[in-house]
Amino acid sequence: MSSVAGRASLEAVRPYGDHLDDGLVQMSFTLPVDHGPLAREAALALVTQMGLVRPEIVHAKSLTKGYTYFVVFAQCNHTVDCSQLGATSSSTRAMSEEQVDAYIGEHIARPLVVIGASTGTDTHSVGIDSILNLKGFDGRHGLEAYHWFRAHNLGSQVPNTALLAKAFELRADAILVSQTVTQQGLHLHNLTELVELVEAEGKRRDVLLICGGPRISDELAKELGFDAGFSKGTYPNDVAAFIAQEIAAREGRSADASAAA
Amino acid sequence: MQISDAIEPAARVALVGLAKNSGKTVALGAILGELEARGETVGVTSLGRDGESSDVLDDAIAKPPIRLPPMALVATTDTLLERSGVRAEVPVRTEHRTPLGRVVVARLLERGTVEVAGPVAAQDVGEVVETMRRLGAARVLVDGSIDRRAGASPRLADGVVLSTGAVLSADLDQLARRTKAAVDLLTLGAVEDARLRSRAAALRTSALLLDGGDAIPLDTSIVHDRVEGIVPLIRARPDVCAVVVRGALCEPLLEQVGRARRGAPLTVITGDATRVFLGRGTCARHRSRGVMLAVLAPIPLLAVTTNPIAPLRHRFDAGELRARIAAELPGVPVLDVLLSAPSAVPV
Repeated sequence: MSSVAGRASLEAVRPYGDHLDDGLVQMSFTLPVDHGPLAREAALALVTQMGLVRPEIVHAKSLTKGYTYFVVFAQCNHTVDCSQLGATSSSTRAMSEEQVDAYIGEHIARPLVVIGASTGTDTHSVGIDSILNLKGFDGRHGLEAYHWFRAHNLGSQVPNTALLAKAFELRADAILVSQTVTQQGLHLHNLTELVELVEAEGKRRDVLLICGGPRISDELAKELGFDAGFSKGTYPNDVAAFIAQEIAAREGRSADASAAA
Repeated sequence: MQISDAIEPAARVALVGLAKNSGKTVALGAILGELEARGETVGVTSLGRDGESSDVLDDAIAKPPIRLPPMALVATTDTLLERSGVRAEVPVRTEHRTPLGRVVVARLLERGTVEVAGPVAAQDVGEVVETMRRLGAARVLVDGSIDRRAGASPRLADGVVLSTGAVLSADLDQLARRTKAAVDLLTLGAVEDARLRSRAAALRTSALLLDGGDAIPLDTSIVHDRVEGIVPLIRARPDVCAVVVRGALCEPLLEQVGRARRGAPLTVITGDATRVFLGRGTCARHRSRGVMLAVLAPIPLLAVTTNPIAPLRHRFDAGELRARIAAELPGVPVLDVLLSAPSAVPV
């Protein structure tokens, strides 16, 4: 048994359903097949091909002609070794709103200008609003509420060039872009273009570029040329902590460099 | 012709893809293999992170690993190097921090697969390239990620290998047109008039150059945001001979220049092609309206590689795609690095 005293071993983690280590998984999907025995057989075969065992259809419903929706239970015998993960986790220390303000006061001691928008054709502003606006999200204030942040939210459908013009005018320390990247990566070009524009202006070293959205990971952010990426489950203080610590590190670096020169 | 022959003139080679999964990593692998056979010490860095084993957007797309020979220099991060398990020494630890750790320049002591991860800013990548040259790399390859072009800047690289592929379009003609448009943009010609060139190069800010030798500075807000503001400025000066943009040159400004001149030709000059951003337009469309684009530092295009496969979608016949792109780009070596006999199709 990989569990000790009711606690799962982090070396062999598998899903929890009714009890520890039973590996039970629930999933839902739609197949482009008419509702009937053939569709059920196809659903079970598909789940088996996913590497799951003992699949059981608990719900099947015709959506429209030619399409069937399924809810399936199955068992997963694979495990994940959590001790082998985490190599990509951010080195940023978690901080509360008060801790971030205290940290900036101590290490940077000037207001940090942050400008944000949903860029391109993206109309979703809920992500950027929850990070920047006073009200924030889930009881945590947005950056507008912080003593040391000067937050500017340009809203949605903002062209990259307009965002940059404003960022340069305000001498922004950080630019936040929110983007709902689709499955096919349709909005990626919009994100890389922003980075390329900053590069073309010769200002890439002067500003932190941060992107956020439901399908954005830190890995994707780095591949796109951003300094950080935030996804679901991010609170304003997570973004604030990153900006504060990164700018403190960079300004420390430039002080070191000039001392060495 | 092999791809290593095509890149021979350039000590610093940038790899640029026209989209994700356009075959850039395969091209890099082919270059590395051929350079190793020639006994050349190579350095590999990237602008942003690339070379991870699966696609960051779609795990179903397996990415070809970049295998590096012993003694190769690679820019990666301390975390990624440790995770690779490859034996290596680290002659230089840079100050550049990334979300995946601190960027280091490592020298491999055995053959192995290491994720390449250079600094995020092009200027910092330039420093890494120089570090690798100093550490003995005869040739340094700068791998760009996704569709980024900044690595192709003449400040970083002496030439570019451009990768295009089926992923751009399921329609061969459209794929060829989009490749041609991208090549036209990347290979914008130098300002021909030597005097105009030196006048433009001497400017610190964006400006209108006048026939007599004077220049009218342009406010940054006109270049980027309130672009209509350039129309009265140009119309008031019939002696304008060029518009010079320092920094990014975007499509809306070009539109307004065309409007202001009502078809009379005018050259818009920028530093290099990585600073030109066209939305849906092409260089040819602006040219037809009298707006010529020219650069201070042109980018040599060393080769174009073609990838006939769009992962999980469609594919073309490899030979047919290569020949179609080659026909579109006379004088440019067009290669499919996975085709055994690329020279079978005449360029």
